[in-house]
Amino acid sequence: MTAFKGLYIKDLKLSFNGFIIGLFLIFFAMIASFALKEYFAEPSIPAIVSFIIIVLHVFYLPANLFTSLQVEAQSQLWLHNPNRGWKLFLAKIAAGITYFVASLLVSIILVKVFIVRTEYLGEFIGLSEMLSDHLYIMAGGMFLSSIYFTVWLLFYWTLYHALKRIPILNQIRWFVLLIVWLSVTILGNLISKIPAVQDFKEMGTINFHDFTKELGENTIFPETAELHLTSIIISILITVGVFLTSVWILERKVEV
Amino acid sequence: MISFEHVTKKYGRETALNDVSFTLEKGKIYGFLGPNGSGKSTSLKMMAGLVFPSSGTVSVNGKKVDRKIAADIAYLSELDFYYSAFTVQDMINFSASQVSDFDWKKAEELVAFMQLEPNKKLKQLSKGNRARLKLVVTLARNTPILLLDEPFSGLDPMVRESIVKGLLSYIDFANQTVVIATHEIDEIEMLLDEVIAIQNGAIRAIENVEELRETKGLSVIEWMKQIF
Repeated sequence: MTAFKGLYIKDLKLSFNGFIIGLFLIFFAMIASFALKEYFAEPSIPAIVSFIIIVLHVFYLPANLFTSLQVEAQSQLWLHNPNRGWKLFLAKIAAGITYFVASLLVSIILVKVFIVRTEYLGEFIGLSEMLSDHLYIMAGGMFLSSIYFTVWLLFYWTLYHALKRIPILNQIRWFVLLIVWLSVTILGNLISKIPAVQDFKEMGTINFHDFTKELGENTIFPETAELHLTSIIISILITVGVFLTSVWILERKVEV
Repeated sequence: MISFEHVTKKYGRETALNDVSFTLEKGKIYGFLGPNGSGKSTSLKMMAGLVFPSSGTVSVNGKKVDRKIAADIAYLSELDFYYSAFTVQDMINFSASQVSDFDWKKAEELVAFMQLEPNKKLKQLSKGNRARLKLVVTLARNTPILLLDEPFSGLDPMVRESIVKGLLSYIDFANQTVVIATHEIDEIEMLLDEVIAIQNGAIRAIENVEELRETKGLSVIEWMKQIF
């Protein structure tokens, strides 16, 4: 067994209970939505709940990773490992993605089976159409967003644990994280307002006219009708940069 | 060879180690002895690359220690930490997958020797059996350096005895450098070549156990009573 496979299996085992609990919550929410539909005589409730379930998956990967990291944080003995930090992190992300995909697939199947292909299409036509026709685009977008949030979570988690070795900051680690988050956000906004950066981000724009047309008046994410390739490249570069920074902090600054 | 050169470790105003220098030679068994909070565990963690010095240098075979040193060092933690979803076999499989020096045959022998059930979940094991398992995955590695941090802490005499027997049977006395940090030395006195007394983050004395017995007529415990 390779080192990565060993780490991956370990991380799958660490998150398995969370995965089962997540599935249980999805089933419970779906059943509850049908009960509420009957109670309020509102046929659109299951569609709305399905939509919420799928959208909430954007937090699935970060939440999964956080619980897995918190298990390690109890001792940090996982750092006694000759394999590099990126491998330790990537195995956790890979395990999280496995459960994310499984949970999302279950949710999509439930949506397809219970909402789109049943009599409960409802009067909330825009939402139902979106669930029916654009489910996979939604899922893909959420997957990429989820990866982005996950990497930032890794960064803040490693920073939080690295600060432990600085006694003067140890008691105010959450506050330090808040300051860092605010600084990063403000800096990001300032950079994005620079005209040259704005022009650069506008390059390589792809329009999805059909997508907006199909949604009609019930458009929920009209901005997704435009895809900025340069923005995606910037996001990928930021993700890789933040990931590598997290690895550096883990290897050089986090102590047991 | 493990070398500490003017190593200081501070946690804010607290000094865990204060300008400590010593060298540990290949093929010897060292006892790091001292009361709780003396700096024993910090020293071992530094050797394992898990804690970094505030100043000074820790090196192993001439290389400055970092996280990658885990390839050459097997470290047994004092903590009773375990993955609750794991079975004994899962733990062995995982440990084997992470290092290139894992000896499966030795691991199987050790599991049988320690009377552990491979399919039992770790959360169902007693603290003593979890300590045995920690020793199994540590001793199953063929590393030049073995670090054992408080291997007997909180364990009953039966478990202590099985751990000592495990050490006697599975340590490669000719090639492995072994460092055992403990304040309970009854069980391990017979194993030790050298003892290092540490207190308040400073080395108080370093003695060869045989010389101690022959020239001073002292057992390690008697020597410790004089030192502390």
